[in-house]
Amino acid sequence: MDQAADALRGDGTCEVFRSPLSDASLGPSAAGREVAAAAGRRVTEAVDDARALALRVAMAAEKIRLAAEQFERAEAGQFPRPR
Amino acid sequence: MSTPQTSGSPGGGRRSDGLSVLRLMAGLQGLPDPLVAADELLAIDADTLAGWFAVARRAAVWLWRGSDVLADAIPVLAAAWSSPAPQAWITALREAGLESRTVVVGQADAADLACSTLTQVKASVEEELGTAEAAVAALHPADVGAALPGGSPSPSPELQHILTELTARLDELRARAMEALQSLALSLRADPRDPIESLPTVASLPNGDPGAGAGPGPRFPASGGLAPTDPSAVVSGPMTSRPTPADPGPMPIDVGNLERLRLDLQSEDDTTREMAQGVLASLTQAEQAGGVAQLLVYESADSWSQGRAAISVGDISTADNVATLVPGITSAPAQMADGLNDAAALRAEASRQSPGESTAVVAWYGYDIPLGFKGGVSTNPLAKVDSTLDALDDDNAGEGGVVLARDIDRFRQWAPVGARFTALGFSMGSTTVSSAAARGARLDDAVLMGSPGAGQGVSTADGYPHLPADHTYVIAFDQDPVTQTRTDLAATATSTLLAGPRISGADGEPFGVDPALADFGAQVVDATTNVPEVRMSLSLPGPIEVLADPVESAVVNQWLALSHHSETNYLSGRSKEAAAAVVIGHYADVPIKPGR
Repeated sequence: MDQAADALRGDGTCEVFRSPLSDASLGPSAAGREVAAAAGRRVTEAVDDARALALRVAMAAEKIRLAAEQFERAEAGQFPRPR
Repeated sequence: MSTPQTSGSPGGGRRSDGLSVLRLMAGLQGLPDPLVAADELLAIDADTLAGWFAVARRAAVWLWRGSDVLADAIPVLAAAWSSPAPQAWITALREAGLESRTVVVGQADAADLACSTLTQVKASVEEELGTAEAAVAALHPADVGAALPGGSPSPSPELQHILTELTARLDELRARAMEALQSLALSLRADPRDPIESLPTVASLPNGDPGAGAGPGPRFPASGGLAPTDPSAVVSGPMTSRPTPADPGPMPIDVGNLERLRLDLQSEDDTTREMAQGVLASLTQAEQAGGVAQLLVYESADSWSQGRAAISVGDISTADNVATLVPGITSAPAQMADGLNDAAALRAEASRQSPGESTAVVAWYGYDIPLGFKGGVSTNPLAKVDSTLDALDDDNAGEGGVVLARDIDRFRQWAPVGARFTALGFSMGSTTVSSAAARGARLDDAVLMGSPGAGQGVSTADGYPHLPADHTYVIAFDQDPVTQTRTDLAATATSTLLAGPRISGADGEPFGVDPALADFGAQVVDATTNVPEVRMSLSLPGPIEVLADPVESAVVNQWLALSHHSETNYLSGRSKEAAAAVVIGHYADVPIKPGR
């Protein structure tokens, strides 16, 4: 799961992607302006999306690791058993 | 392909002799300049679009690789844990990743397809221009000269044929380019974040017990809830994320305003308390309409002022789109019911058109609204006179524009980075929005509805520092008398009568230029009133009929015409659909017509 989180983070750099498209890049038509704005947003969101999933996977991995450790400690008798 | 000489003008503009002849000829015949259409197509930057989507493909690879590695973890978890919860949890993460990747890849594919078409179109435009250039060059010079100013009124059939062919081919190519862009625009309306954002948070896995409660569940509501009958409840206002016993979560963004509201509800000043009670009722109404209500602006009323308030229907802190709705005269913060109904209707329409996106609509009662005492709290007589005179010009809208620009800056700090911001103003509110834009408000779009004018100092839509003219939309019903010049004339006459001559702006109109005029340069929305048109003709008995009848009818019809001038009318039917399409950035869905 740690490897999955790494893969989802991509190259691991904190590269910030900024859209090179301006409002007029695809012409003055309504469709051109809509695409320019939406493309700028969607590509950035795709990158954010992968990183958000990486964070969730890392957090889930941490939870499972913590639970596993607690089970091990319980089995080793480090926690008092209920009467 | 022959290559015409070019002057290197922006957008690959061509100014060779042969093409200049065609351009002149088109102008003399009143036809559209074919080179303008060609330049627009050649200016489309398909390469940059394609390069930008290479970034999306990288993200798609990350999502695929990560999901692939997660697949390896699933059988290991199944073997190691007797509980199915960890395995189910990781499976859900993996599926969300793959689903998201499908959206990203689909959009990248659509972008590649569009870029390919656009590149072909550009090449074809070059070719058509070259062909036309060569054909003109092959004509006899006398035939070409006859097409120039001062030449023959009927150019040679060969030259006419070249112009007709070029225009027709460019029209075809433009249609292909538009089809490609519209198809891509549709593909880009899917949000790649949806699959992952709809997952439950990891907090639903209890600490140290992966065997319990890991299944997906509903997202936690952002609102902490309000108890309208209990003033003390307002301090617990809307939260921006899930609170837990160990982690109370981030502070509600409106905690300060809610605290001021709570204090005002206990004020001994009747005006202050009445306004606070009105705002509390509005918060309840907004919460019922939007699930989350946030009090983004709150300033107390007193005997001189109606105060200020702005309530968001929907959670601004998670919104993809934030619309700010500015009302017209006679509105007041103490009575926001109509404005909140309109805000909720606009939000519902935005959600209908773009179900995957969240939209918050802020009812902004944040400027000194003329005649506010009509619907608001009772102020002192002098304040009422002042507020009445304020309705006769755009002074309050100008000052309100400064405040609106500042408030939008604050809203941007609360909203997610990248949220789209639109300001919509009705009547005097539209003049306020225009003034805010003129003062540099950071808006993606503005919608001016039922506008009496764009305000002093704004002569064209090019006058907004951060808002391109083609992102300024105007909805003006032809039946609405307030959008006509006679409103300015009436206001000027009344103002002069009551307060003496006023120094008007350069255009001499108290509310500024009509933004629906073609010369203003905004996008005029093609929408019609939603109120049935009724006209009356009065018949008076006796000899006065001849003189009085036309006057009486005109007055009655003018009164009837005012029924078209309401915010709710502008936010109904096709005009509401168009306004919502602007709010969510679906520009291709906004019907446009020529200005007046």
